[in-house]
Parts: sequence; C-alpha cells; structure tokens
Amino acid sequence: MNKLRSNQIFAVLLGSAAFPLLCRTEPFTIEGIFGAAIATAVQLLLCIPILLLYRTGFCFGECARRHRILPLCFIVYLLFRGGTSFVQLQQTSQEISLPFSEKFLAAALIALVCLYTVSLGIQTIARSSTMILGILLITLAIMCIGAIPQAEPQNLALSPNDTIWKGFFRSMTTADELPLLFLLLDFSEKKTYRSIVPVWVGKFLLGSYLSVLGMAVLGSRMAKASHPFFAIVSVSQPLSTQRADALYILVFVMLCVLRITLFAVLAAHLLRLCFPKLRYTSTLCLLSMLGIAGAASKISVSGIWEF
Amino acid sequence: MQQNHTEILLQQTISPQLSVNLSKIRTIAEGSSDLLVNEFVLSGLPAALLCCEGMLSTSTMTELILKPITAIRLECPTAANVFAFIRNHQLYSIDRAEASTYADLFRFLNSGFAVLVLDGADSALVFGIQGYDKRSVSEPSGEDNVMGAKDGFIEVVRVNMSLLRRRMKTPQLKLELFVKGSKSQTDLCLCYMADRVPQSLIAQIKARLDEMELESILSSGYLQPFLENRRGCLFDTVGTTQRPDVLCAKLLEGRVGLLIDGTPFALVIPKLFCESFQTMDDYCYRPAYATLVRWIKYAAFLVAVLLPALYVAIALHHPELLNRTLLLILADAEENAPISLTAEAIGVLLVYEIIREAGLRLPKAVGGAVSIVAGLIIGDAAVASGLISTPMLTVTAIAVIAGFVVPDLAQSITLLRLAFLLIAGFWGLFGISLLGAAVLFNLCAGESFGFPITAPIAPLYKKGFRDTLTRVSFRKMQSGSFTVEEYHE
Amino acid sequence: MKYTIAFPAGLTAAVLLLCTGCAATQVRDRAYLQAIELRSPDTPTVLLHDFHESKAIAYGKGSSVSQAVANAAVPVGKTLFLGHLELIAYENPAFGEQLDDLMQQYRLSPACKVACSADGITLAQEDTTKTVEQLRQAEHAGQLPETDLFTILREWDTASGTALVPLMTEDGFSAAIATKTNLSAALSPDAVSGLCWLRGDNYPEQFSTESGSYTVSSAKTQLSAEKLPDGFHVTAAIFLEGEGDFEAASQEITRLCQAAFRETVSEYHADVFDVEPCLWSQCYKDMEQSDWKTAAGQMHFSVQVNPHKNML
Repeated sequence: MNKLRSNQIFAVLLGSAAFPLLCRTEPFTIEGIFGAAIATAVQLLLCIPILLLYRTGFCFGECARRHRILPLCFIVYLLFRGGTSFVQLQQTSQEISLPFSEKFLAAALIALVCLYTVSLGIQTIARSSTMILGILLITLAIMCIGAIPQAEPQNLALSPNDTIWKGFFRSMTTADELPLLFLLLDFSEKKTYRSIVPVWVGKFLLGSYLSVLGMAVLGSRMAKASHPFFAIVSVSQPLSTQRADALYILVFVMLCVLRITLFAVLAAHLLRLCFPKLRYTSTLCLLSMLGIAGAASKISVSGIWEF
Repeated sequence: MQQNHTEILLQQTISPQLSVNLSKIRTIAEGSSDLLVNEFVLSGLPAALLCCEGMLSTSTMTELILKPITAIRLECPTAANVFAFIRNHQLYSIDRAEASTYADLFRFLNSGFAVLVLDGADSALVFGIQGYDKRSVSEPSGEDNVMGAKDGFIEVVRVNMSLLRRRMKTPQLKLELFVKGSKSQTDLCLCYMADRVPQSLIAQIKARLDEMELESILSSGYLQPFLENRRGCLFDTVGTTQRPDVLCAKLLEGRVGLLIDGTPFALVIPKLFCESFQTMDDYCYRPAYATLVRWIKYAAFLVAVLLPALYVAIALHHPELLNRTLLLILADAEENAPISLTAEAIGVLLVYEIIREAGLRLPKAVGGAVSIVAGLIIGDAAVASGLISTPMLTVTAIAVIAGFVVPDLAQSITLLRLAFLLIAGFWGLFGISLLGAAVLFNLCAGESFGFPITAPIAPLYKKGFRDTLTRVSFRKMQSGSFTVEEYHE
Repeated sequence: MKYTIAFPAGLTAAVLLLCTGCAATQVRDRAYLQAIELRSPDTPTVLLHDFHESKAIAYGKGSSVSQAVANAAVPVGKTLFLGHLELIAYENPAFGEQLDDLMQQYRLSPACKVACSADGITLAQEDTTKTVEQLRQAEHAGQLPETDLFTILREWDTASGTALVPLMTEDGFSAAIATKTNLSAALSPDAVSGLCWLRGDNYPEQFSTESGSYTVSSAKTQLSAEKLPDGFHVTAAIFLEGEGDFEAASQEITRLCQAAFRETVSEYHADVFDVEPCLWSQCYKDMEQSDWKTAAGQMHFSVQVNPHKNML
C-alpha cells in the first residue's frame, strides 16, 4: 500500500475542506468566525483519541477485516458525504456561468473525471492535492487584490441574525476532517502528527479570511447572496475586466474533483476490504453518490443538504 | 527450415578442425558478400583471418595483424601454444577477446573485429581494430545551448562512453556493457555512479531489460516503453539527452544512464517533470537571470497548452472576462469569419502541425520554399480573404512559439493543446478545468521506478525548490550533496 | 470482447456529451451592448445602445423588462450580450426595483454605471459613449461621488433603503437620493461636492476657497460615532494634504460636508456615506435598542479637517 506523508495528509484534508466553504449558502458573520474557532478547538481535542489509538499500533485495515460493521459505517458515511458534495456542486453550478443548461450534466461530467482519477489511487490524490492547494492560494490572493478596493471596513459589524452557538453548530456539522483523518492515518507510514494541527488551523483561517473579506465587500448584500463566495468574486475585479468570476470555475472544479475522488477512493478501498471479490468498486461508489444526489433532488429536503 | 539450421549452427561451439569451421562459417554467412576469409599458414598450422568488409580498415589489419602474424615461427607449434604466444607476447590490438561459439564469433565479426581461427583450436581469437565510418562528434541538434559544451553523443556507443569518461574521471563511474536484441545484438551501456545510485534502481532496471524480448533495438524509442512504469501517462518518465554534460550531471544526482549503440540519444532514469524546464545554460547564467528564465519557461508551457483554449473559451462562453477594447477588436475580427471559432482554431493548429511535419521531412533545399509558401498562404492570404481572423492567428502563433521554449515536452504540448481546445469550444472554462484536473491527476500519477515525476513539488521537498522554483547559486547548491534517492517513495 | 463493446460505447458517449456544447453562440452572432435605457414602467420599454452607434440601435416593449429586452433583440438580429454594459439609464424611479434582477439575470458588471434621467434628458438624444465618458470624467474630477450598480444595490440593502444615484440634467450631471421606487429632487452642488468628501472614494483635485484655490495631493475620510444623551454624534475626520491655504480649505470642506449631511441624513434620513455601518460598528449596543430612522432624527454631525500627517 502506498504511504502518505504528513504534509500530504494536510494538503488532502485542507483541499477537501475548502470545497464546502466555496459552496456555502449561509452568510458569513463575525459570530460565525467565533463559532468556527470554538469548533476548531473542539475538533482538535476530539482528534487526540484518534492519534493515541494509532500510536498504540492500531491498523484500521486489519480491524476492518475482522469487524465489517465498522468499515460499512464508514462506507455509508463516505457515500453520503460524496452525494452531498454532488448536491452542493449542482446548487452552486447555478451561480457560475456554465455553458450548458442541462440539469445534472455538471455532476455527470465531474463524475466522469472522478471515475478516472479514482483509478489512480490515494497516492495520486495526495500529490495532486499539494498542487491544488497552491492553485487555491493563488486564487485567494487574486481575490484579495480584487476585493480590497471594494472593501468597506465599517461593514464588519455583528450580525443580528446569527449567534456564536449557531456558528459553532454549523461548523461542527459540516466538518468531516475527523473521519477522513481516521482513515488516512491508516495510509501513513510514520504516525507523525505534525500535520494535524495545521489542518484545522488552516481551515479556520480560510473560513475567517473569506468571512472577513465577504463582510467587508458585500456588507448588507451578504444576506441576499445565495452563495456568498461567488457573490464576493462577482464584485472583485483584479484587473479592468468586467466580471472575473468565471475564472474561479477552475479552483471550484479542482476542489470538487479532489473531494469527490477522495471520498470515492476511500469508500472503494473499504469496500474491497469488506468484499475482496467485489469488482468495479470505484464505479459502484461513484454511482451510489450520484444516486444519493439524484434522490436528494427528488426529495428536495433542502434542510438536510445545508450540510 | 534454413533459419532454424542457422540458429542451430550458431549455438554450436567452434570446431578444432579449420575446414569444418570455415565450412560452417560460410554456411551461416551464406548469401552475404561482405565476409572476407583469408586463409594462410601460421607457424606451419593452417589458419584463417576473417573480417567483415567495410567494418575495419584493411590497411590497419595488414600492418597490425597480417604482417606480424605471418612472421611467427615457433618450434613445435601447436594450436594451444600458438594462441598462447599471440595472447601473451603479441599485442596486435588493445581490445582482444576469445569467441567459443559461432554466435560469439559472428557478433565480433559483425562488430568490426578481426577473427583468427586456427586448425586445432576450439576457440577463435578476436582483435578489435574497428575502422567503420562514423560521424564525428558535433553539436547536438535540438539541445542547443549558448554557454554549454558543443559536443554531443554519436551513434557509436564506445565513443559515447569515452565522452562520459573524459568528463568524469572518477572510478566510481561505472559503464557496464551488455548486449540486447536477438537479431541486432545491439550494445547497450548502463552508466551510473556507484557511490550515488540506489542499488535497487540498478537491479530494477536490469530486471526490466532482461524481461525485454526485442529482436532489434534501432533507436531509444524501442527501449523507452519497457522502462516506463505507467501506461497512459501523458508525460515521459524516462528522459533522453544527446549531451554528455547533461548526462554526467544526471549521473551525479544518482540517476542511471543508458547508452545505445546506433543512436545518439541516451536514456536517463528516472526523469522528473521539472527537468523538462532545465537546460545546461541555466547553470551558466547568474542565479537571478536563470530563475527568471526558468519562470518564463513555466509560463511558456502554460501558454503553449492553454492559450488557444482560453481564447476560444473566453470568446465563446465568457466574453465578460475581456476588457471592452479587446472584445470589440475580437468581435470585429470575427464578424466575417465563415466557420465557428472552435473549427477555426483547430484548423489553424492542424495546418501548423502539417507545416511543421513537412518542414522536418523535406530536403533542406526545399525547406525555404515551404516557409515562404506557408507564411504567405496562411499568414497573408487566409487572413485577407477572411478565412481566418488575425487574433486567432496571433494567438496560435504565440502558443506555437511558446511550445518551442520547452522542446522536451513537444509531444505532450501538442496533444494537450488540441484536447484543451476541443473541450474549451464545447464547455468553456468548465471544460478546461475538468480536463486540467484530469491532466493534473495524470501527471501526479506518473512514477519512474518509485520516483514520482512531480517531485519536488508533490510530494513537497523544500530542498528541491532551490533548483526548481529558483536556481540558487552553486555555493548553496554544493552544500549537502543531493541525490534523487531523496525523492523515492 | 469487452474492448469491442467498451470502445464504441465510450466513443458514442463522448460524442453525445461533446455535442451538448455545440450550441455555443459564436462571437459574430452576439450584439455587445454599451447602454440600455428603461422607460415606462407600466409597459416597460428598453432602448439598446451598442458600442458602434452613437444612438439607440433598437428598442423593445414587453410586460416585463426581461421580455422587453428579449423583444428588443429581434430587430437587432443577434443574441444580446449585456456583460459589458457601461450604463443603465432610467427615467422613472420605479425601475429601481428591477436593477437587482437585471444584474443577476444578465450577469451585469458590478461596475456598470446607473443614471436617472431628469428634465426630459434621455440617452436617445445623446451620444452614448460621450455620456458615459462624461459621467466618468465628472467622477474622476471629484464633481460627482463615485457610484456604480453594485454600490447602489448595496446601499439599497441597508436599513435606510436609500442610495445615491447620478442624475442627468440639462446642466450636466448631478445626484439625487433614490429608493427602489422613488427619487428625491436633485441635490445642490454643495451637497454633491460634500458627498465626494464624505464618501471618500474620489476627491476633487482642486477646489476654490475664500482665499484662492487649494490643490489636493491626498485625502482620507474616517467616520466615528458615539452615543451621547442628546443622540448620536457622528464626526467625519478628513485628513488632507495639499497646497494652498489649509484653513480656508478646511472651512470650505466643512461647509460642503454640512450641506451634504443636511440634504441627506437630516432631510431624507438617507444614509449615502455609510453612517449606519459606522454606528453599528462603534455603538452596537445602542443601535440594538434603536433603529436607523430614530438615530438619524437625533443625529449630530461635525467635521474635523486635519493635516494628513496627523492621521492615525
């Protein structure tokens, strides 16, 4: 089995965590930042048992072979999360200018690409996440350059409609780094934990950066924005171009592919552990995710998909 | 049937009887007019000197071998003591060996050796006095440098070996010769620094070469697929070079080189993606300038691959990204275009590829005329007639010229450029992003004997940045000797 | 066997997928609009102006603005592209409600200018490019506060629900306070100049004072607020650097800013220079117990002009 290094785990987790931030529909608020800070601290505390468990020589693969219920639970979770990622993609794709109007085509194309990327293995995901993270950082810098002229510091005020507790609850329910970390540590050769703290700190910093920028730029329009991130980029023009938000499609698609591929690879790996003779596990996982996304669109339980 | 008989004869050992030997040799070589057999008496014993016409210098053979050998007079001559006398007391050439089978005999014969068979001896003495025509060492084509050396490999493996040895006088430089190719019997030379190279890499390469069952090896491209780990990778995981200085630099980093007789290209294993942007000139310039040039190359690669696709995507699907003046220029230029923008772009690119291929294959005398015709027809008449718009031509020209900056990636650039263009025409920036994600994953999946080709970016090795993102001075580079083994996963 | 099935199936799927993008509108099949003019909110009429013609190239009517735009595309004969729209002009303030939908539907540039027509002045009578350039130049010279579509929509989303909208008049450009459905009278030139100082986006390069003229090299505006028993006290601190009589310049700026405050906050309870966000950020607890209208009614305003080097 290919081994991952600590900085690769960091890049994978942070890249995966960035996608839901881009697809977020709730307004950014100062209370949300504080809530996210508390959620970060709580998650850091919750990861201690995982680290201690792996330090004792725990191997998830062996445990999964003996007790199938554990990997099955993870499989269901991963498929559910992958399906919600497709739902987020579908909802957010209405915000960005896609050159086709057919429903689900964006999800189908992403799934097609993921079908290929999943076949390349976890090591490839880890390597590519480093590069995708670099693209994300460059994008954020460009966004900052474009947003600064539009920013009004006096817009940074407390929100009457949000609370720290709501922000905390929101951050905890959207976080999936802990289960992913639990699975990814099994691929790590040395159980080094230098990468652990930067993951949550990085996610918090990313969320805070988008929050502060969004509030300063959008001001009162934040409440009306269906997708605050894309509302920010639609008004942030780094050059004299008219609307530069189409450029952010690149980082959006990259992060989406990374996240869905990660879920699919891990789910397929667990499926193979449980059912070694099962073939086409990657395809099955992706189709299941698409099925969950399709079912969600039929049921239209939008409250659930706020996750 | 006859082929089988020849194969059977080749595996036989050399007979002590000269007449039988010569008969078998003539049978094996039946139909070949270049086999020369000189029968004579050597110290009272019947002997024969064989050679392949054109493979050695006859005057050299006469002066160095025939004259002295016919002067041998031994008391009580036998085949054994005649051979012992020649081996120990007569140095007809530096390169001497013995052939015990007809296969070995013909391999030496066809390599330009002179072969001495003697009645009563069950082996043949061979003398390396090759004198076949070969190209002189000259500047390599396609890997030009401004400040680097001007010599390059040629088609003779031993000359190439000498070019390496001249630069690296340490005994740690190992040059292992072996033969591959059942029909061509091509000499291959594995080059490595014994104190730098990971031993497992050598073992893996040798194992991979042993698995090969090729009849002939006529160019480096025959071997490359056997040495590449992953099928379907868009980028090379085995490098090639024509420059001995470049190969020496790679060997010092713990890589393995493979010289192939008959081709001036050496293979380098492993190859990293970032090496495609490195040239010898980078290490001759000042660090700041070399860093600037390095970044220009990275930008040129992206421009070469993405510029036509971005142009089409933005013009068709995202015109809001352009500023007003640029958009109006574009709109005016495309006003009378008869075909769609995507078709126009693909057409221009394909025409360029045709012209490029024609320029490669045409005789030099006609090449100039092709340039004029291509320039006039494409550059002037097509634009004036409105078949192609000027912005499209400009964009394509910039992309094509940018591709020349990184010739090592020419194949990948051509394929990717067309693929991105096609997908941009259909799905705009979304399509470009999708294909970009797939290409990125494909690149990251590339491995060369356990070395990820995206190192040192992914996986991240900060030490590697000193010769990737920048080019630091040699004072810093020499501190902490670097070998590629650090990137092994 | 599986390759003989998989390959044609994959190829067919690829072709079908690729064909979904074949309907892309070509560059030559688009009309790139520079400005649109909205008239008659009861039966919306849209006049289209492109970059080449100085006058309108087509007009359309419909039951809604979107339908009117779609109908206007017919005489043009091409698909309309509004992503590079530089100016939206409307004569009836009721069209203000439609601007947000226009921006979302046609992905308008947030930097698109918006102007109301007054005195019967319409784009149909003017050279569009010249009008747009004049508007930009007026902003650049500090004669008109900088504003654009996004700024107007953002201001409309505040508690005051008012925004500053440029006004095309016989004498050039002025400004007015607009809600989504209503428009005030044109502000006085002093108030307009004062708003340039208070909004802090564009300052005049030079302005007249009692003792001559003052050339501005740099300026910055900061608002601060505190709650006192008699109401909210808002202070506009302007840090100024330039050449000329500083005292005279200070007096002139104070006069202009007071005029701006009088004609906006005092008269219309309009917040067009971010007073409300300042109150929320500096007097949060007090604002929680109050509302903008009440605060505006009790507001006291003062101006402090300081040399630039004293800026914190």
